[in-house]
Amino acid sequence: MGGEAEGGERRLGRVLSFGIPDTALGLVMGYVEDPWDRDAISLVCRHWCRVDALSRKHVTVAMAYSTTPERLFRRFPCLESLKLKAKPRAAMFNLISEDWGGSASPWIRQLSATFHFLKKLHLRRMIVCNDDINILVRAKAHMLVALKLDRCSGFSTASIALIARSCRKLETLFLEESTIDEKENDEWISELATSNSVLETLNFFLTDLRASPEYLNLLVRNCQRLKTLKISECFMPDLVSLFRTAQTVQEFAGGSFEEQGQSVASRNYENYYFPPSLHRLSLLYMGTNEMQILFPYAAALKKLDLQFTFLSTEEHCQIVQRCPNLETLEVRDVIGDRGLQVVAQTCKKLQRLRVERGDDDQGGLEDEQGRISQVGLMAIAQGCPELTYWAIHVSDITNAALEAVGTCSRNLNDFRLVLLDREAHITEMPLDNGVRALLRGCTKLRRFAFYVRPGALSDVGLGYIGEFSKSIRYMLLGNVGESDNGIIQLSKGCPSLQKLELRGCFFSEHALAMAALELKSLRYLWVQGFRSSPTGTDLMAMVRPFWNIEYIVPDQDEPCPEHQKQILAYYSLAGRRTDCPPSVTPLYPTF
Amino acid sequence: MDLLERNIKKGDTEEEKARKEEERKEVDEVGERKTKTQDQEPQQQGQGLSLSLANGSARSGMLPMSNPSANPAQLTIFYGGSVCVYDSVPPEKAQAIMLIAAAAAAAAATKSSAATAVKPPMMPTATVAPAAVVSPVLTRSPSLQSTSVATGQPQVVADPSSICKLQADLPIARRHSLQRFLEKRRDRIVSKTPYSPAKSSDGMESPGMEVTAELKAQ
Repeated sequence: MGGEAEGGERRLGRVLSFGIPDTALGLVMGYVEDPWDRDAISLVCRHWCRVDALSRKHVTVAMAYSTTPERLFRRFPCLESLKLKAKPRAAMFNLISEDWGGSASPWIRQLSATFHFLKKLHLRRMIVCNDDINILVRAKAHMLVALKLDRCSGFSTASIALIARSCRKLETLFLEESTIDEKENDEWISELATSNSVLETLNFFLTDLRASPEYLNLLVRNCQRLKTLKISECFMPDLVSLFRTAQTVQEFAGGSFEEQGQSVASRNYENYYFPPSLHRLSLLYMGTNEMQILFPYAAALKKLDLQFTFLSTEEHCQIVQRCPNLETLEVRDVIGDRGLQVVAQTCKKLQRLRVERGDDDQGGLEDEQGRISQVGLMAIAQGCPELTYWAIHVSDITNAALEAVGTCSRNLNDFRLVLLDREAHITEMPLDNGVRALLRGCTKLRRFAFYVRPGALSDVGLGYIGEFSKSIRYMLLGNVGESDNGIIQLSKGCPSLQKLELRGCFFSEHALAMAALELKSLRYLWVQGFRSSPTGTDLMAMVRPFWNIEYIVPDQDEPCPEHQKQILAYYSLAGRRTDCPPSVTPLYPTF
Repeated sequence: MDLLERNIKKGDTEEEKARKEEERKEVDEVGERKTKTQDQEPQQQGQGLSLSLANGSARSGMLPMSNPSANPAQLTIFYGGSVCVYDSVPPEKAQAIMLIAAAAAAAAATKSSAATAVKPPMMPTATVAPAAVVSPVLTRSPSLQSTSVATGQPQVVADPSSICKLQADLPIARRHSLQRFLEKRRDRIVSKTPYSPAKSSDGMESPGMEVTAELKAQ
């Protein structure tokens, strides 16, 4: 760049900044935290892009392969907090093989050598090995305030111990749902207890890690600021003294009501003590005899997670009717329509509701009343107007129910519906009109999932989705459409759609390629279940610069319906992946 | 030639083919042809790709063909005058090979300056032997335009019943955390009451009675 051109740019920059010096500009930008707003700011001119980059505190890289660690550092050298995600979301549903990729090594190496202001690191669905943690700790232990290894794998408890004793400023240690080796060794908890006194969040919920009550007690005694404690399985009666000590704990998850090899029926939980500060709870394997543990505290509860309990429909009703202050409720569909009606009557402040899929076993392991239909859906829509996040698995549905959501649930920014395979006959199909009403009513919707069955959403319905999803950035569609026309119609709309996941729709390669090219904002596409073209060339119609295309072939040794081939495509400045396993073929770029 | 070297260096496709070769050694019944294939494969790879890059009119075609009376899942490749036959190729692998070839052609297409000037590769017939799950057999497809030219029309609507069948093979996936929990729940119920059928009871249970408590506990 010539001096003149540079001078011209600087002049332009200054004009656009109204003569405000960079320092001031950076400070003003510092008040803008929303990443979308920051993105807009950075596009004004090169000068503003630079000022934004230098003042940006946090970046989320939604797809780790979309850029390189070096590029990220070049743009955001002053970053204090980084979140990286790698494996497709489908990995949480056992659809991605362990060796697909997502190694954190290149990132951690870069972070450790540079990123001199980094205090917080969040890795989600990545592979982190012990060496990586060694390197990270050696470079950043004195600075690390938050470390989240979220649904990661590849490391052992020895590494956690290393983190525990080296990172004395650590306020957040998050390991939820990670797969960790040497799970029997819980020395790391003792290390944490003795090395750290500022810990506020410790989360190893849904891991297999052993956690002895003695070490947990030690931890709680030494870490007086502990607010969130989410552990693995630990017998509740053994935690009595823990709760007596932990007077600042607001959120607790884990525990267990299972005693090894003995009957639990004789215990009495009526007077189990929880600190008054505690108002978010998730207790594992809680059954009929144990649910009384909640009753004295139910009225104060803001969050309740019953997904991992052994309760019936009736018992869900009994608990929920005592919880008028709930803001977050997570259950399985055993709660039934009846339970949801109780929720609708009682939980007027509800903001987040998740109704997960229970057991399908026809032998009746789940409560026979444990089915959700349009009745429960409508009840919640009408009873809980504050909902912002709502994920639900239903066994039956009507258009009217979806219309009710559109009319009443105006605050929804995230709505996900799955229509299960349980009933042979669905009351009303197709659901085109209901979906249209829902999308027209829920104008704040940013994330939307609609996973149904053949016939539940026609091509016209897909057209409605395209037409009425102005702000939606993420969409998961399952078993929708009748023909390629459907996805073509959808792709003419959805102006904000950045991430699209399709499963079981079986559009042709050609249609997928056309849709990918048409969707204005698309930067990430995942497909499982598509019709192959005769020569394999149809998919290549979507070849374009910076658009990485991966073809994922199932594991041949274990053929399984869920391991059908997949397409993964995403914008990338990093070029072709160099770490593909045999099951992943990068189709583009070719070198 | 730069492009030639780069293509020869290109790891994946070659490796994939080499690997396929090793796998097919035992399975392949076409003795002589096999030897010829093995010799020619690596060279063809480099040549074929460079040919198609250098001038798009090369007869670089791959036609998986099925002979209904021969083995199912048989892949036949016509290339530069020789024929290679592979038995027992799983449909997904065949699809992968086709996609790789298509990708190479597409890369060539995007590199050539005039998007419309690239001559279509000669692929008059293309069928894949039908296998258990995927890809109904297709008949003649019209000669293809350059892959970089996007045609607006959607394809012919596929037979709805075949789509339904495909969809049946892709059941709704469960979240991992819940899957583990439900397995544990099943184990627990089975271990506590191994001889009684796991039925939900409607009756009231008293706290002391272990068996009914377990049955009711869901």
